[in-house]
Amino acid sequence: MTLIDQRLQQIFREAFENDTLTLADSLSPEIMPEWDSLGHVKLIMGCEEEFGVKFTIEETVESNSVAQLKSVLASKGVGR
Amino acid sequence: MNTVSLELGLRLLGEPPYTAAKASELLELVGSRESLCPAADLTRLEHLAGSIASGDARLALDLAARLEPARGDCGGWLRAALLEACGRFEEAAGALRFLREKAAGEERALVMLASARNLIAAGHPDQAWYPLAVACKGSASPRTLRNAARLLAQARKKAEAPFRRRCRIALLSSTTIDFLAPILRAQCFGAGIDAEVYIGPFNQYEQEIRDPDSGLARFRPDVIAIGADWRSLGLRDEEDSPGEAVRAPCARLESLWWESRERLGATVIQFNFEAPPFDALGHLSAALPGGRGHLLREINLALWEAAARTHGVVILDVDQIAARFGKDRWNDPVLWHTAKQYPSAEALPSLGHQLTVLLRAILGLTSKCLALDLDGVLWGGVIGEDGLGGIQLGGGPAGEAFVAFQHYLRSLTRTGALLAVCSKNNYEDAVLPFRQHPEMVLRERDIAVFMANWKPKEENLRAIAAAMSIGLDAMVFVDDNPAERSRVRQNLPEVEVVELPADPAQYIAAVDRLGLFETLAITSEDRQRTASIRENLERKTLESTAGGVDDYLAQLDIQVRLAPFDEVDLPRIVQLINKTNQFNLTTRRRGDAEVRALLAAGAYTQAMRAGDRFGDSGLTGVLIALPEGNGLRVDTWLMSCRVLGRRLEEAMFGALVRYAAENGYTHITGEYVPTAKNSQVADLYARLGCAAAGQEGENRLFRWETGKAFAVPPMIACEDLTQRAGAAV
Repeated sequence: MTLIDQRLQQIFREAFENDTLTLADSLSPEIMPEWDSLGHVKLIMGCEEEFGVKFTIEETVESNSVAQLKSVLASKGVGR
Repeated sequence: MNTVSLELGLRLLGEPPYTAAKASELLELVGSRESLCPAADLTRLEHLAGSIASGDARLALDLAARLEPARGDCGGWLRAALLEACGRFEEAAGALRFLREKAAGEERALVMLASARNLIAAGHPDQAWYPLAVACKGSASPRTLRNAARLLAQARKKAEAPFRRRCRIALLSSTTIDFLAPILRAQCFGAGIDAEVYIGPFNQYEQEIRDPDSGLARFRPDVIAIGADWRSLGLRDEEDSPGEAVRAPCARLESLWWESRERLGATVIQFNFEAPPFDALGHLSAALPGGRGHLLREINLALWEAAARTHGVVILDVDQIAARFGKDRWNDPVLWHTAKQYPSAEALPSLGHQLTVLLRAILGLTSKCLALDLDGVLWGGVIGEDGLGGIQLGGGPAGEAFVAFQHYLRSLTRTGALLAVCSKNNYEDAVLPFRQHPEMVLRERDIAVFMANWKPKEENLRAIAAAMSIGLDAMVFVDDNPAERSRVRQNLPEVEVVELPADPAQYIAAVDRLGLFETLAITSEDRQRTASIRENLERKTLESTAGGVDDYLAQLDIQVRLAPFDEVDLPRIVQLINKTNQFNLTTRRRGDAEVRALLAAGAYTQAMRAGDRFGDSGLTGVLIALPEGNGLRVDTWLMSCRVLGRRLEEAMFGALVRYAAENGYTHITGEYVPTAKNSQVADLYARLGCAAAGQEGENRLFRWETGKAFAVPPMIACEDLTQRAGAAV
């Protein structure tokens, strides 16, 4: 697992209070009932804190799966 | 390597999996650092350890072993993280133990949190409470606090957590406030409060309070926090009728206070309104009588005035908290537009901290004594070596900072805080500046107990607490020497130790930020407390020279005045009910509304004031008895430690007996509810001549037949105003 995945997995585990959650690119609100609107804000807040970045409104809205979240983070220089 | 930042070094190193050469490079990079790295790097190392261990556990353990021999604090942290990632919790906890006293600030919180986490995983939850509480008190990071709250919830399933108070608190808000809940729980735990938190539905605070079947009503809150934000007031840039724009929202909130208190029996914490940092009208917004900035400030003033007229309502100064935090960061427009989150995520710990500070005050947990070291705290230099002329105090930048700190400390005493000196010095040297230095702000009369000797500080702190008759958990210790602080922390974990920065210019902020001496009201007893403790010490001197105890008491010229509760005394009475531990027969904590309810139910009440030839101790005794069948049952009986050992309890009991007889009650029922602190009154009723009357669970009951006569000690002059029926509230 890459370091960025490791960090992201930890953010997911903390946001959803699930210590056995395994990160996968396919995770999204459709397959995770706990990824509701409050859960989404928790994830964004967790990423902002962990990676020291700030999401725009558009980025917040479009980060609707792990894959998309990673691509937004990559566009901010995280993981490079 | 040492010149490269750890972050850059780790980036250059690349990601695991590591070859043997890369692993050695990592050891070199981390192990060459003597002190702990910043919090962000600590988190980075944790992730790195997790990544290494998940790929190659053997390499992780090998690295941990190679980090063992004194590889600096940073190496110790990485070692602990590697061990934890490999499931070696016991060893990880051991590695962290060495780091606990070394770090400060956010890094310290992370070390304490990791320590607690590993102790819990290793099966020692009882040892985890202390580091977990320190993490909760010291962190300003939302993430660390959230994780602490989770850990607390997990640990509570395995062991009983130490709490001083319980509180059911409801957070009602016009904005998304959900994320404050875990942070507040963690911060409350740090303050000894077991907070059960209820979050009301978004922007329905009014319905929640008014609807008798709401979730709020079912939650049965002790405290309701009403957090309406400035936007919810709907003020336009400039209002045509400013008076009405102020009156209407205040009247609406006041009516919610009334419902909260009268119908729900809760204390109210009302958030005031932030004057936002952005306004199209600029400075004019505050200058125009109808401008939004102007109105928000007027509304805030009106709320304070209304709260001062209303019992059981406290204002949380959100505008000030936001300003202190920085209003630009307090507001996060992205989170506002996407989730109606206000204030910003990073601001939540500041808000939660100040809320906790008020809760501490409401629950009677306000600290009582600040014990001060002298050299390096009240002045610069060492009085024993530099002499009166050599210490830094006034007359220059560094000296000015010490003078300012002394001014702050003296102002603290106005709230009822007591100052003590706890210094390793010859007494003659230590008092010299207090008596002779022209720039000293604090004088001997400002210091309730003065301990300057060469004994260990923990011994002196115990002696100070005993002289003041307060618990160690009401003491705060200020010392510029980290070794002394660490020693006190280890020997007296109950004592709050201030993490004093190296620069005296920062002393005031370091003490003030903690909010340990926050009080809801300043009573006249508070203002006189230092004098009262000093008199008590003089009394003790007299005690050792006089013959028998009664001879001593006779010399004191004790006067007692017993009166029914009245409006003026009620704040002090509620304060005593919530903080008295030792002479307290039932230790039933009650708020203002609950005491009023007892009065309405026909309670017989005594508020006792005592004085003697050394001074006036003020309102220091409380008794509440309720009719029960043909008799009276003593529901609450307590006395402040300051007046114990003077047979005042006999004066109070005598008045109760007389009231019972003259109002046709056949007997008095007394009750003793044992707690960790009130064993001194276990046999009080027996000593007074009551007969044992069985048990109710742990509680012991006693009975006094009204026909029996009771003699009040002749050396006490007692004025009894309680015989007329009914209290004056």
